[in-house]
Amino acid sequence: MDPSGFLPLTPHQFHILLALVDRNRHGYGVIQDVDRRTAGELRLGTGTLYTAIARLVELGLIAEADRTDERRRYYQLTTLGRAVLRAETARLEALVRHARERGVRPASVPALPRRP
Amino acid sequence: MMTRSTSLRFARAIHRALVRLAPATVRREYRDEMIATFETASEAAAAQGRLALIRLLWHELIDVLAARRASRSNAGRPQTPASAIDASDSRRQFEWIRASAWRQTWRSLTRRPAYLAAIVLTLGCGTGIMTAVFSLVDTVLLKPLPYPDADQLVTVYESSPVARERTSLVAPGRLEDWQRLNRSFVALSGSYSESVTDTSGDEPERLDGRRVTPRFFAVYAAVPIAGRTFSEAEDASNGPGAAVISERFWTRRFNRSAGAVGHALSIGGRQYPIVGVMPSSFMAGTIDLWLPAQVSPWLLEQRDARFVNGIGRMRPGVTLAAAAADLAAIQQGLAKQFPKTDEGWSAELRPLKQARIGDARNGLTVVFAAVASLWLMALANIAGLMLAQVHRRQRELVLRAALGASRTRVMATVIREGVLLGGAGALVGTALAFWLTSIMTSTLTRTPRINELRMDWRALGFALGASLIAAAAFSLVPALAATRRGANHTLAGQSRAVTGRHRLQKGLVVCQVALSVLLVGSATLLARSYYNLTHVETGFDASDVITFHLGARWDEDRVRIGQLQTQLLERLEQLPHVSDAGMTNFLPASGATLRYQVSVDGIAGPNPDGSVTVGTRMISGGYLRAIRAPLLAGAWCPTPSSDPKTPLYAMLNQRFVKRYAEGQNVVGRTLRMSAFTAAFTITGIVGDLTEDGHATTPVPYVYTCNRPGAWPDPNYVARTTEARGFVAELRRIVRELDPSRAIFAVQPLQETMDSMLDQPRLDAAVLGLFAGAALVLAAIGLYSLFMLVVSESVRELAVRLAIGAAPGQVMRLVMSGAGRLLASGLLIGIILTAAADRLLRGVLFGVNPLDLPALAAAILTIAVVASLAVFAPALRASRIAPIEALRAE
Repeated sequence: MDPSGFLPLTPHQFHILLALVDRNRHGYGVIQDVDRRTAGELRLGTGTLYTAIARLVELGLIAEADRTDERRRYYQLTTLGRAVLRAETARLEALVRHARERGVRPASVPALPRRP
Repeated sequence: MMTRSTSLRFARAIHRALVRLAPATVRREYRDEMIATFETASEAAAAQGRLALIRLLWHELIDVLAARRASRSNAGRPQTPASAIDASDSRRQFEWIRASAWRQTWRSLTRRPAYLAAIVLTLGCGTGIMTAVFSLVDTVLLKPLPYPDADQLVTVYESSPVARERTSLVAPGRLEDWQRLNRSFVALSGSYSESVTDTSGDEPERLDGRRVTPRFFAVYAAVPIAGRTFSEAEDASNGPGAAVISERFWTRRFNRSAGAVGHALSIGGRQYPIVGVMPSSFMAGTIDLWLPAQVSPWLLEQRDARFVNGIGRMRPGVTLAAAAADLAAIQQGLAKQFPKTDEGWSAELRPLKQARIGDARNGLTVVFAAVASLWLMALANIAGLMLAQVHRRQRELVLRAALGASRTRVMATVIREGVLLGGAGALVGTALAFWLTSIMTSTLTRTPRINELRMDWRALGFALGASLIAAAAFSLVPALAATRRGANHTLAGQSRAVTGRHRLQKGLVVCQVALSVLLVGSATLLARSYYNLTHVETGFDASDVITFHLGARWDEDRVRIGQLQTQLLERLEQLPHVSDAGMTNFLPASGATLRYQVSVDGIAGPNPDGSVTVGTRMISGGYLRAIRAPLLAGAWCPTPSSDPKTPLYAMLNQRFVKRYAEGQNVVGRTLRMSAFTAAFTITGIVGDLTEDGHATTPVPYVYTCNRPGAWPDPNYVARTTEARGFVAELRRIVRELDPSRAIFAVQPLQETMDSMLDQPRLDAAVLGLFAGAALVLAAIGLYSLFMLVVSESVRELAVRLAIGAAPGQVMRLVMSGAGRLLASGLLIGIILTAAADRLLRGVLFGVNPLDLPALAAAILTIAVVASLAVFAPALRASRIAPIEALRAE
């Protein structure tokens, strides 16, 4: 399947995929990872997290991992998910490169753009 | 406080409820996961403290709402990730409940300090005054009296159905009969007032006392805060002396010392040890102490001596009607047993609360209605101010909406502003209400139950509720107005016509004008009514007359007190600057409206036994001379001697003669009162005095000139040209006659008469104040509306001026727009005033609620004020320079 058909990812989807790159995590693990990585800029609640997870599972970008804990569902990246993440990163890099070439530099570098 | 585990359980329960809000598809599959995830998250948050937990829950609420919103927006779209709206976008929809958004709104308000202050102060004052007045109305009219099962308490009167006259006080003997025979009451009791002089201190002190018959405190089920109430022995005739004092007296005299109980008061040479202290909530005002009446067996047999205020506690479940029927039946039996004194008399009961409140109900209701109207006007003005702001920002808002800001987002800004302003107003209002309540407690001493007044949770709840309504009213109205109009219309053209827009604000201004008519109209009516009261023909001349009391008790030796009275009046009349001195049991318009049946030789009265029902006063001849009552026929009654064998005299008023003896000469005839066996010889006719109050028409009255001492504690009056020197002379004379007597309540008669008008004067003044405020509010409303209209119609007006309209025509255009609003406001106002007819009728004297001159004056005033308010905008419209105005547009 062509990964570019899934682009662009929403910020939530991107961050959730990113959280699963190095290891499988359960829901709270994802929340914690995103929170830590963005220094609290993006805090997922259970509502948005599982809405996004449901969607990613539906699209086949992530899947439930084998259970190591009876009570919790863990999630892992699928091969497709990993490919989509790479493609999205490349797309974003290209965007940033274009901006830099025109001399656009961010004043500071927030993990997520803060709304005014 | 909640422990951590309870707050955790609580938070999880809330979260479980929140999960129900999540999109159905997600919820079906992931419900348990969401709950498990929150459990872990909440544990981590709880470890950081309760605040972190609350923050987490708040975050979850916004989050789930955002997720729900996002999934709705996605419904029906192709299921590719690219087109899906992310929850991170839809979160913005809920920004109005986000904390940072509130801070932002507050900052934006503080950048407009004048606007903020105007609204918060208007709302704060409005809410504060209304809360204070509500608290007053609530305390006086709504709350039950501060006694256990207070609705079972009734006042007990005697009534004479034959005479169809008012109720009478009760004879103590009859009260005891009723107590013995009834089956409806837990207990019946009574009291009568007596000013006493205590000589146990350094100086004689005059105290406001009540003599109480047995079971008095038991009827109220009142518990003393120290000591006890009277024992059975103390209640009995010839029992030992005892006194129960009020908390007020306890504080004033004994500094709340526990040693007060046991201290003996010395009253009339007799010792009264204090046995208990009653709390200030027990009875209002000025009462210092209660003494057992210890009514003697002789007085109990005087079934015509009606002087006790009866009070009773009905048995649980007994209705007022049933209890009244019970007493009436008993009284019928007594009438057979004592036909001479009891025939025709019955019993009447009234709820104690109604008796306590009395006339205050009408005045309070009027004041509360006025304050509520004023509050509504203040709200209308605030809404008008906010509307004006919204109109000013209309282009910006519409532009934002056109650029994609949703309607909810624009509304959210306005709503947040409204809620913040409402909250600030509530804070200011509550503080003001506390202050006003404490002021009212100390100034409105004549208002019944004022001793119970305090700010409580009911008043606070009222303030909060009022502010909430206010915030909702003046944020939702502009919010809807801001987002209703189509974007194209506003961007395309500014205005259609000078008078075509701002329908909402115009509605508010019409309401304000209408309420002004109501308030100004009512104030004018009350002022007229007050004027009428002050110009009533009283029938006497109160100027240069001094009144005073001299401490005396009912159970004193009447001959001795009679001698004192005679000597005092003689000595006073010998003073060079005193022309006349006398005494009366009740001053005119003092509230005493006792009725008796009298029969006069040769006159057939309307009562079945040929008697006439009259009001009575016990006087000395000097009294009527001192107050310059006109002598119409015959002579003043002479001062009777204390020798019981000498004849007694009486005088009639003009009304008596007019009604029952027109054209007859009654002087010299004999008059018999049912209450006394002695006969009186009529010596003369005096003019009608306003004995029953200024607001009533005179009724037949009989003035009996009793032997000195018949009324131990009368009002003494003296006509003097030197008021200041008089008091010193009076003190000297009393000291010489009897140094143990206290002189008290020394007051010019004019002041006493004026103070009877305190309530109507206060009513008129308060309403006048409100009316003034209403005028100002309505003027501000009109002014700001037309300033807005003119500034928005600059282009249209400029075109009119450019094509040749005279400035005067433009002015007329604006003024006529205002005139139409004014006319509808006035019309609605007149209808409102007519509707308030019944409410006003209760407080008016000599004026009809639809009094034409008063209404016309009110309408004229409002029209003038309104024209002034609109004149400035109209003038501004006429001075528009067409070329510049059109170029700027």
